[in-house]
Amino acid sequence: MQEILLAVISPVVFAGAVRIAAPLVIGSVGGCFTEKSGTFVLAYECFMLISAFFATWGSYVTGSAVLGALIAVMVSILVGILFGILVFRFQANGMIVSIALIYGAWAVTTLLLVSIFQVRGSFISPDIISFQTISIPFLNQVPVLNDVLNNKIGPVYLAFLLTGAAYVVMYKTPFGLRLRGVGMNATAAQTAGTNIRRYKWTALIIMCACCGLGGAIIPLSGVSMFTENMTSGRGFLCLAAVLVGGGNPIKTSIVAFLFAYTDALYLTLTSFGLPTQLLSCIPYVAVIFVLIVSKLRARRKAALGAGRLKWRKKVTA
Amino acid sequence: MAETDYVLELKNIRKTFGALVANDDINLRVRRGSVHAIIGENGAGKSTLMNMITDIYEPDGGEILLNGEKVRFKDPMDATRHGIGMVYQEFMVFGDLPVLDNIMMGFEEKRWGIFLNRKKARMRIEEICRDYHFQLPLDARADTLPVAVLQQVEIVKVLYRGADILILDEPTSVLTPQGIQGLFEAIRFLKAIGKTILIITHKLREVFEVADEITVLKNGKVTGHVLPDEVTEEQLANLMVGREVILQAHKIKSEIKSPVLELQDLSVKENGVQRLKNLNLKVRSGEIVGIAGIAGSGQQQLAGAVVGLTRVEKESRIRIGEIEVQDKSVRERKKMGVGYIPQDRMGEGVNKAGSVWESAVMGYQTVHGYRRKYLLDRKQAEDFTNRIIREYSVKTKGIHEKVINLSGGNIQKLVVGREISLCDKLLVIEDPTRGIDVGAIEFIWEKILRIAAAGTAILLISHELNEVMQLSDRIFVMYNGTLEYAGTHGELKEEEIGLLMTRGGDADEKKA
Repeated sequence: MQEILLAVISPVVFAGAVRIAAPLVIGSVGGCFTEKSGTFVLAYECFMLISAFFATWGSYVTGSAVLGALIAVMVSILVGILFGILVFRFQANGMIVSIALIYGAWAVTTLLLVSIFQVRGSFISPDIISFQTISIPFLNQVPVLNDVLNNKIGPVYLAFLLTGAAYVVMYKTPFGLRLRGVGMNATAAQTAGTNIRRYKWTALIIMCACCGLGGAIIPLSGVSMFTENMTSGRGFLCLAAVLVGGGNPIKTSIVAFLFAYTDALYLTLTSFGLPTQLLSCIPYVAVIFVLIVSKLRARRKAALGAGRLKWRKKVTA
Repeated sequence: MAETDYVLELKNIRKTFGALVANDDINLRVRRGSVHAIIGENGAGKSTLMNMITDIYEPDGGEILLNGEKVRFKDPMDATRHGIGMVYQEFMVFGDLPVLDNIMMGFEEKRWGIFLNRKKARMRIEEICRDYHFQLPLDARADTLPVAVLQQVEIVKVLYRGADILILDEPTSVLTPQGIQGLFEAIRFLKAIGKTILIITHKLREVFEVADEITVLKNGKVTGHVLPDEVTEEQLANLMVGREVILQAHKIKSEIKSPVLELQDLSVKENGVQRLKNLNLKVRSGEIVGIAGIAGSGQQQLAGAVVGLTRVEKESRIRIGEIEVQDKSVRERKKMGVGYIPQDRMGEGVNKAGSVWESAVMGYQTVHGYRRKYLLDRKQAEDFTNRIIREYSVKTKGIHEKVINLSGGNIQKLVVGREISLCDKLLVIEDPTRGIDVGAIEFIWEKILRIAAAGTAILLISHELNEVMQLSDRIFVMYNGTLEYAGTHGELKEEEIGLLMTRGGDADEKKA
């Protein structure tokens, strides 16, 4: 029992969490922009899965993880443009388009796996080059932090940088202010001279680029393979993180990290001979728990500022 | 020289939407540094005209001269850059953002070209507030502020963007009496400092109080250009609606009988705040009891408690007829003949996404026989709707038109028609004439007086003091959750009641 408790706070778990968190954090930080701009996108899973595939392909063909990731980002943005044309231009329902894209991505990647690599299920090759780990010299001296943070692939560090950068852009620049304005009250933003369509498009492209990068990390973090439906719900975890974090990049990243931590915990605890069926629930229970807690907090806040509409709704509901 | 006297001139402006001529050959000259009121009924073309000045619409003909020069704005921002600022009726507010961010949105001060410079923006806004005597909590979130303050935020925002001409669209429709006075003070001050102000309104009294010049629009045409000293309220109303409208109700003598509604120790608490304190009130058959008061004194809770939308405290008793109803649902009370005309007609009175006939039977589909076992009786419902449309002259293309396409006055007529036709015992009315034009107000007043004469008990809650005074047999003033008797019809003067509204009863006065 004590061993298990120690494992919960062990550096190994945190090191795992940092590694697992990178795609989640990067993807959800991108999602903060669409969330704040008032665009309803569910299709994180689509962007991440498509880009995971094309990252694999790009890396296999060019022999460079960075080029592979770039190709993945491009493809992700292309799919995002498709989403934008359907939703912004033709006023399609964002939810329906998202669902179509999510299942479409699964189908297309599975099909491409067969038609490009002639394999079913998964494609494994030593020619898929992963990102290189980066060793930070001064961290060698610090005992615990060295285990947790050092010798990770580049995108892990990029995730931290992106979170900070996104926060600054969102809250310290005119761009971020206007973006949030567009999401809050589009008409008011328009009277303030903001081109709504341009801001919505920009946010969508940022989100797709981030999800593309996040998706690219998954196959290029040492496993050197792509399997069918490789993202397996990571996109939805990103979405959950964005919704819980309310589009604030720092809060969102913390939630995304929490999800990653539970995932790492699950991986570690399986080695203690605990029933895996139960353990594999942990990440999902964590999601539900976080959603409930954040919902309760929001309700308390709402109760403090209860207005006319609110009491009416409560009684008539 | 004469050219520069006028800061804004419209010449022969014309705008059509399909077959509808919204603005027909409009000429308007606005003197620099004046307060110019544009009045007209709903649908007279006021908003269309303003939208052409701020360039949301492009005129079909005519020209706009700004400072004597012909202008044609490329987009709405162009108007802003030329010093025209609009304060919309619906405030353009970002609820989650602090006031500071609200004001600088779109016109940010920058640091190093890319970052926000909140400090500089704050200094500029504080300077504007100082110059124009506004006091704004710059760090408070916008949605925590009362509407009167939000309106000031909107005005400061327009000034921050460098406006010389301010257009205020129905600025008083959301304000309390004090708020209106505060606004007028601000307007006078802005004028004194040299700004030009255009006010769009349909409230005649306010026009007299604040305007230097008045232009009257009717059916898209200018029907008069007058100075306030030259005309009386009646003459102005005449120009506006083309007939003699006297905002004076003709009370019908009715026989007041036994009590229909009895409130005993009515208390309401919401989130720990006492909204109503031990109210006692009787409304008798054939009687109109009017409740005046400043918005937010507990009127909403009173109406809610009577119709069943608000939970009341344990000791409270509400009797309709002889029956205690405080634990009965809204539907049960409706069945007993209780009608309700809510203040928020768009949110609570109708289903704005639905059709006219759906809203016409809404709430009564099971109560009064609009049913055939489980299915709606469409024929009966449609006949009933047509009757309302006819009797209450609701202007609509037909019973299948979407409610949202109707004007505010017509929606209100629909709601009033529904409730009056279907309830026979007690009618609770909240602000029946808010934001609708003079013709519709007169019409609705007459209907209310008539059903009272027919024996319905009426509880009238209104923020328009004049309305309460004109219609009520007995008047009460609501102040901070308590009721103060303010005499029978015509017993107290407007000023006396106004004093009760702002200070409460004598007891409170002594305490203060």
